[in-house]
Amino acid sequence: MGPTAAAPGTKKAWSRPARKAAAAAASANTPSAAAAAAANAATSWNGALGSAPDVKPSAGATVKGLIEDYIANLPLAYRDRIYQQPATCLALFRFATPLGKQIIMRILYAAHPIPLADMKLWCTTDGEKELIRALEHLYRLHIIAIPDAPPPRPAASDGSGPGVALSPHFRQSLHNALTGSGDHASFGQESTAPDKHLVTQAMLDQYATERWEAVLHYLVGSPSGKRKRAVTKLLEHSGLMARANLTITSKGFQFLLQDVNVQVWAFLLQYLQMSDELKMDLVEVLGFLFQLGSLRFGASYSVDTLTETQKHMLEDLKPLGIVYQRKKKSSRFYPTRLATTLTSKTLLSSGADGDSATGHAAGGQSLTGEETGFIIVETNYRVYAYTSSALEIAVLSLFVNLKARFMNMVVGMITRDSVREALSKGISATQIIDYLTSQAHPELKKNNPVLPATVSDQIRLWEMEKERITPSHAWLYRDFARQDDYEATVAYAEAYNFVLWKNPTNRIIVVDARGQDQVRAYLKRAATAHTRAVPAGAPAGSQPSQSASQPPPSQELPVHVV
Amino acid sequence: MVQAVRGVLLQMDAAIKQIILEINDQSPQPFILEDLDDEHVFVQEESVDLVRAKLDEILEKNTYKVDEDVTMAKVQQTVASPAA
Repeated sequence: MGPTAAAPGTKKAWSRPARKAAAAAASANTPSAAAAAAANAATSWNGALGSAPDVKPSAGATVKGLIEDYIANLPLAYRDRIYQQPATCLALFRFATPLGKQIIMRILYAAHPIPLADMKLWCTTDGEKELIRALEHLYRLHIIAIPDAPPPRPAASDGSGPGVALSPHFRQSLHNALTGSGDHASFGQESTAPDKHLVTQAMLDQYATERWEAVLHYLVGSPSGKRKRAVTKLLEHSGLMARANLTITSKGFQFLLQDVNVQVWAFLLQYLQMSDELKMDLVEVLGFLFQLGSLRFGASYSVDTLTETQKHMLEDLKPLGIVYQRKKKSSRFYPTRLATTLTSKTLLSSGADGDSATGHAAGGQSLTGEETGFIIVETNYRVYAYTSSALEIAVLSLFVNLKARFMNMVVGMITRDSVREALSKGISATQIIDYLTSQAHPELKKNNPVLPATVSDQIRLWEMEKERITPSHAWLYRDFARQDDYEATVAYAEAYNFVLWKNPTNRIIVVDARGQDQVRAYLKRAATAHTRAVPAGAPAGSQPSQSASQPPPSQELPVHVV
Repeated sequence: MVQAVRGVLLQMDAAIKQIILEINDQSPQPFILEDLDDEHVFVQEESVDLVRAKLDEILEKNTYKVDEDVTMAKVQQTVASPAA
C-alpha cells in the first residue's frame, strides 16, 4: 500500500496519504456499492413495472371480439331465436373475417353438408390451418353446424369425415337478408312521407356528438345538465363509475381511451346484460341493435312497426345519441352515425373523416379526430393542452393541476398531489402516461420517447411511492414436528408455485391462498400416511382439532386451523 | 402439530417494515401475526387497509412539499372554475 512507503516521514506526512488512500478505498468501494444499489433499484423497478396492472389501452378490445364473445356465450335457446333475424345474421356476416365470409358464401347454397375433407381441397396445404381455425371460429358462434359430430379437428377429418353446413336458422335468415325475401321487418320500415321538420345529416351528427359527449362528460364528473336515470344506471352497472360516490373508476378511465365504436358497444352490451333485469326480451334487444346497425344514415324510419320492447329501447337509446327522435310522440326516428356504424368494421373516426359534417365536432375524443393530439408536456411538468373541449379538459383535470384556461388552450401542471389524487381513484400511472402519449401534440410526437422521460418516470415513481407494500392473501404454516415433514411440504408447494415465503430454520412456510386447499389436503394425506407407518410418530397435539374430516379416532388432526 | 394461520403476507422494503412495526406497536390491537424477516411480515387479513392508510399518512407527513403546489392552488382559486 502506498501510505506505508511514506510512513518513515513525519506523522503528519504519513497521515495525509493514509487519509487519501482511505478516501480512495472508500471511493473505490462506493461505485460498486452504488452499482449494486442501482442494480437493486433496477430490479425492483422492473418488478414494479411487471406487476403494473395489465391495462394496455384497447389491447384486443375490438368491437368484433366483444360481440362475438357475447354471442358465443349465449344459451342455445336464445341463439336459435337470434339467428332467425336476418339483420342479426347479416351483421354477423359482416363481422366475419374475409376467410369466414368466403366459407359462409360457399356453403350457403350447398344442398348437402360438405365433408371436411372436400373443404380442405379448397386451399393449399399451407392454408389448411387457417381454414380449420376459421371453421372452429364459426363453429364457436354456431354459424356452422356439424350434424352429429364434434367440432372440426384435424384429427377427426380424415376419410370422408363429418359434413359441414350452415346452421339452419342462420342459413335461412342470411338468405332472406341477401335476397330481401321473407316478411320480416328486420331492416326497419323506412318512412315514405317526407318529414315536415327537416333533419339533415349534419344535425344528426351534431346531436350524436353532443349526446355521447354528455355521457362521457358525466363519466369524468363534470356536471352537464340533466341526465337520464337510465344512463346513470348503465354507468354504474358497467363498473365504469364507482357506485358509492359516482366517481370515475380505473375501468372508466380505460373506457375513455378507447375508440368511440368500442365505447358504444361496451355500453350496449352492458345494456343487454341489464335487459334481463328490466324484463326485456334479450333476443329482441339484440335484434334491434343489429337492426339499427343496418339502417341507412340520414333516412327516417317508422316507429309504428316496432314492438313494445323496441319502443322502450328507443327511449333508452336516445340519451346516448344513438337514435334521434324529435318528440317522444313523433312517428319516426333517425338513426345517427353511432347507430349505423354499429355493425361495420370501419371505425367512426376514419369513417367520418371525409365528411365535413362531423368535422366541427369538439375534436380530440369526440366522434371524429382522435388522431389529432393536442397535449404538450414539458420537462418541468407543465402541460399545455390545445383544446376547448370541456370533456378533454375534464379528463385532463383528473390528473393535471389546471392553472389557467384560455380561448383555445389550458395550462396546467402535473404535480405529486394531482397524480396521487388520480391514483387514489384507481387510475394507474400507465394509464396516465398512455393517455398523454396517445393525445400528444404532433410536435411532441416528433420526440422519442414522446413524453419527457423525467415526467413519465416521475409519474411511475409516484405510483410506486403509493404502493409501498405488496399484500398477498396467504396461509402460514408453522410448528412442523420434523424437518423432513417441513421440507416435503415445501417441495410439494414449490412444485405448484404456491410458496410465497419460507424459512427452514424456524420451519415456517407461507403459501398462496390459491394453493391452500391443495396444500392442506397434502398435509392431511402425508400425516395420515405417516401415522399409519409410525403409529407413535405423531406428537400428542396440544389443541383439539376443528375441521376433522375422517382422522383416525385416536389421532389428532395433523392440520390445525386457527 | 402443524398450524395453519390465515392472513396476508406483506412484502415491503426494510424502511417501511420499521414503520409498520411502529404502527403495530401503537395500535390498540396488534395485527402482526408473525414477523418473518426484514422485508416480510404476516398480518391479519382485516388490517391491510388500516396499515395502508396509516402508512400513507406517515409517509405524507415526511414528504417535502414544493412551494409551487401552494402558490398554484392559490392561483387556481383566483382563476377559479373554467370560464365558459
